[in-house]
Amino acid sequence: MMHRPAYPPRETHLVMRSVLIALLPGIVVTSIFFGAGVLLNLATAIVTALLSEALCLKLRHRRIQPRLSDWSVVLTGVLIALSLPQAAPWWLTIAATASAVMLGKHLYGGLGQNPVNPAMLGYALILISAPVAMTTLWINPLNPPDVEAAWMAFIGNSSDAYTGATTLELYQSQFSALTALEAKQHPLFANAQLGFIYGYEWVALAYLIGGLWLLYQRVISWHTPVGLLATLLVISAFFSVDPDTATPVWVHLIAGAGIFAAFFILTDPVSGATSPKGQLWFAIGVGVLTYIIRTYGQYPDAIAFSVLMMNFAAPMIDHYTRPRIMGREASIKGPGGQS
Amino acid sequence: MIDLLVTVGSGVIGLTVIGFAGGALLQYASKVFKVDGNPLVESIDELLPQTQCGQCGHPGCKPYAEAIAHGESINRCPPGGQTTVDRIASLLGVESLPLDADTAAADQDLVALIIEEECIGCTKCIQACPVDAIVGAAKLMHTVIVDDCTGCDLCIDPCPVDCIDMVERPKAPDYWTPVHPKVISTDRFGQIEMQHG
Amino acid sequence: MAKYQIRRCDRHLTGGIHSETHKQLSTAEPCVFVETPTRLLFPIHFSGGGSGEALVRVGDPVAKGTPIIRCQSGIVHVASRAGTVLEVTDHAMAHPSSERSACIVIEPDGSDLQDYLSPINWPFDAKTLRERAIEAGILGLGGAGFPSFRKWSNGTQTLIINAAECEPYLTADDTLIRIDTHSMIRGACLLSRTLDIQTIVIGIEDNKPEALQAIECALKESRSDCFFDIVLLDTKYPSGSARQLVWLTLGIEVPTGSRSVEAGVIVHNPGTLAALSRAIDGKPITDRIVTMTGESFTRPKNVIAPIGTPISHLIAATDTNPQSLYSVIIGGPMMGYRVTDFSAGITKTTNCVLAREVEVQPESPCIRCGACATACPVRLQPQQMVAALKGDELNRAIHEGLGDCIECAACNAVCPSNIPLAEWFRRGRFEMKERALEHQQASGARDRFEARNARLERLAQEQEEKRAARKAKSADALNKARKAREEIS
Repeated sequence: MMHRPAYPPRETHLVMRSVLIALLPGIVVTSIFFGAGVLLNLATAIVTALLSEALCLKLRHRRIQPRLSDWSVVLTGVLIALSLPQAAPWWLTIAATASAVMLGKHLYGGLGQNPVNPAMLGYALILISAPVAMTTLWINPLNPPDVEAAWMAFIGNSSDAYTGATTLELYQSQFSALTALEAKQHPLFANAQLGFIYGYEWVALAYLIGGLWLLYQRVISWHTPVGLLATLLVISAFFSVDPDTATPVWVHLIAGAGIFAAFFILTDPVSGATSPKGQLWFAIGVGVLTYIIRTYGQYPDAIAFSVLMMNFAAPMIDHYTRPRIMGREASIKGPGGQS
Repeated sequence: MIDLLVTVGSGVIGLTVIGFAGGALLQYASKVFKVDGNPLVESIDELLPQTQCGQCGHPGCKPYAEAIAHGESINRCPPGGQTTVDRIASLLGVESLPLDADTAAADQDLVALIIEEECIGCTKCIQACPVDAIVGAAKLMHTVIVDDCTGCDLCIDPCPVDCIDMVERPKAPDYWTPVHPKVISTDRFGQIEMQHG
Repeated sequence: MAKYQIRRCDRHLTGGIHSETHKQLSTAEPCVFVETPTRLLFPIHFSGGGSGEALVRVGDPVAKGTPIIRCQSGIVHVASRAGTVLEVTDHAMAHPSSERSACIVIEPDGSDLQDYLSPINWPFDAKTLRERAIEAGILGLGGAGFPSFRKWSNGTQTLIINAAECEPYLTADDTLIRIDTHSMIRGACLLSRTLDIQTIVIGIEDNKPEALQAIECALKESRSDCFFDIVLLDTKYPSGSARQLVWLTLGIEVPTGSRSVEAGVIVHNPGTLAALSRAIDGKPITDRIVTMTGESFTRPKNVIAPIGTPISHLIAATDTNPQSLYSVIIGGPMMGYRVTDFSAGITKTTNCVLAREVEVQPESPCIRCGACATACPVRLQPQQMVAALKGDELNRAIHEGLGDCIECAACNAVCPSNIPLAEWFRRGRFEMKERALEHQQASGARDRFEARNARLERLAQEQEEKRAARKAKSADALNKARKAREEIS
């Protein structure tokens, strides 16, 4: 586990397994600070994902066992569960996961054929279909629910005592009128242990550790995370000259699942760009779109929409980032060759 | 009432004027940007097998290509096979059609073979061959140049002693084909899976 | 002492794979001669050099070196031992097509009768050398079997000896360099002097220290005035591929669609040069070194065997029972092909017989991870090409660069979904060549059709003109006659 392999894993299920292992620190930290809701979501999502995939494979007359045993749909379920609000009721998780697997993956031909990131498609569909649930059921880390309260939220009786707005929402709505100093008085920032935001900072750190381990194991290459995080860093630093009106740089990186997305969402090989150079441009594109949507758009969390939009651009990125073939004078640009 | 007439009238007149203006613009464009010749015909002709056999009803492949460019059905070429029909459909951006011929016969790659013992040297087949693939002269032996023969079988009918046969095109002795990957990829149970998913 | 230098290659292959080399397996034991087998089999059309015709008939006696097959390219294949031609029949072959084809079967009689050519003495010119290479049957012994004489033209500046042997398990070239260094050096020098080549480059991977030492010793003893540039390469597959080797050693990128010969570089296998040296002395190719390796062999080693030896005989030489194996691979694990009938005879290009148990993994869909593109030494996009080929879009695959693929199968080795990429590309390249041939024939047919139409039109027009002229002439004559009659009457 600790020795660095020379090549990425040789089998698909080993790739998926490595990503799941890398997510474990993040999952553990999330459940510590945000309650047991995330674990309930995970269980529901995994079961729903497996069942939806089995159903779809049956309908498509394919053998079920080879596809389920490569763990790809389990990973999709886990990623969705970690993107949804922690106090999400059972129907929210099931709807998001089922639509991600069925509409985002099997509609297009199953493993390897999805044009967009299935997890982000499920997230976006449910965000637009159930906006109230998706925006009001985030847990306030300063007051997380105990197991019983988490169960109540899961079956649909969430209590306002535990829920609150996400950090980005705070900046968009409440903090727009306050100065930086006044914003710092908010309990989430005042109680921060690492100097950023209480709870969220530990989760980001846990995902960062997992992501770095994935890099070390050569499961992913550095181009995607560096592309996204560097872009967000540069753009937000450029525009945050006045600390009173702009969202701080570190909020862009830590809040809104930036680190989670950089290492685990954008790195979906099927829907992203294929070449390392292409992956870099893909991540830069997501970063630019994310900043724009977060600052000027309606929805506070922009990663999902940015990823979906860049997914549609991925084939074009692939066509224009081919390396120069040995023996040719210039790299091939664009698609070509009619049948 | 007058108001209504004015409103409707101005709308009708306005749109008519825009229509005429657009039409004039298109007329101008069709004259200024006119392309010489018809490149579509060349592209279609590139896809046809050049057998020049006339089975499509036209005297050669180029006339058939011109006919297709003017709307003729694309599935009339048996030597091209279904592959050519599909390629032409893809080029024109239309639905492909099944080949309008006996596909088993169309798939064979045949060449003409003159049975030399029976040949009487009448030159009728030489005159019939559209691609000059038969050598010979009056009262002298006629032979088919295999590499030039396209298998159109236009020489069969004119021969008065019926001494021409269509046989499979001979392959070089060291000709071999690499195995198709579909035959070797297997699924978990060791069975050959022709579809993936 | 010949002048030489040893330098570390400063260029690194983009792509390629570092894999377990497994070279120790076959170099632990010394190289041995095998006993002459009871049968020798020679495919008439698949021995290398194109389709051939048999020069002997059933019952003819042959000596070691008697020509038995003449190929279309001119290359001659000889009997590797003295004996009698037993039969000419369809038989299994050591060939990727797994077809049966006509083979000459010779029964050796154990005698030492030889039928060699006469030695040619230096100085000789390129034409003489080419003719000798044809008669001695010299072709690329590294596995490709390209007739060597076709590479030799004026205007070549560099000769590269391909001592890389980058494919795992293979040690035949390594062994040849160690035990027959002088022949290799002599062949290289004579070829270079004939073609006026100034520099000889030896590209050798750094996992062959004994071979390097043997080369240095031979060069110190050589009286040649050629200059040898020995380049140490990183052990990476496929540094030994001709295009990659030319780039690594000389920095020249051979342009797409052309061969390294057109760039002024000849690449030869060490065995080919050693065989050339012997051919100059009059000896055609009758034996070769074959690496018998793999975990399924009891005592893997290199052997020197007569051309035409049945594979089963070689397997027995490793103390392994041929019945215990279902199939073997001829060649290496990357570019080799499977053979199940062990009665097939080895040819001049059989450099290795590999036997190991490999679990065949099932194929799953492509997840577009890009590992194949990273591994490709030519910097192609295998995932795009195979998607196009599976969708029956050959033109799209050609646009992506299918014509530049060297079929090294490095992409196969890294694919997590176990897709047989290299097999798709081999098939795709074959179909590409077939389609190009079809297109050429169709263009020819179109040209002949149009020429014929033009000719018929011209003839018809000439006919018309003749008729018109005749008509005018007869109208003229008629008028004259009428006038004459009027005058009379």
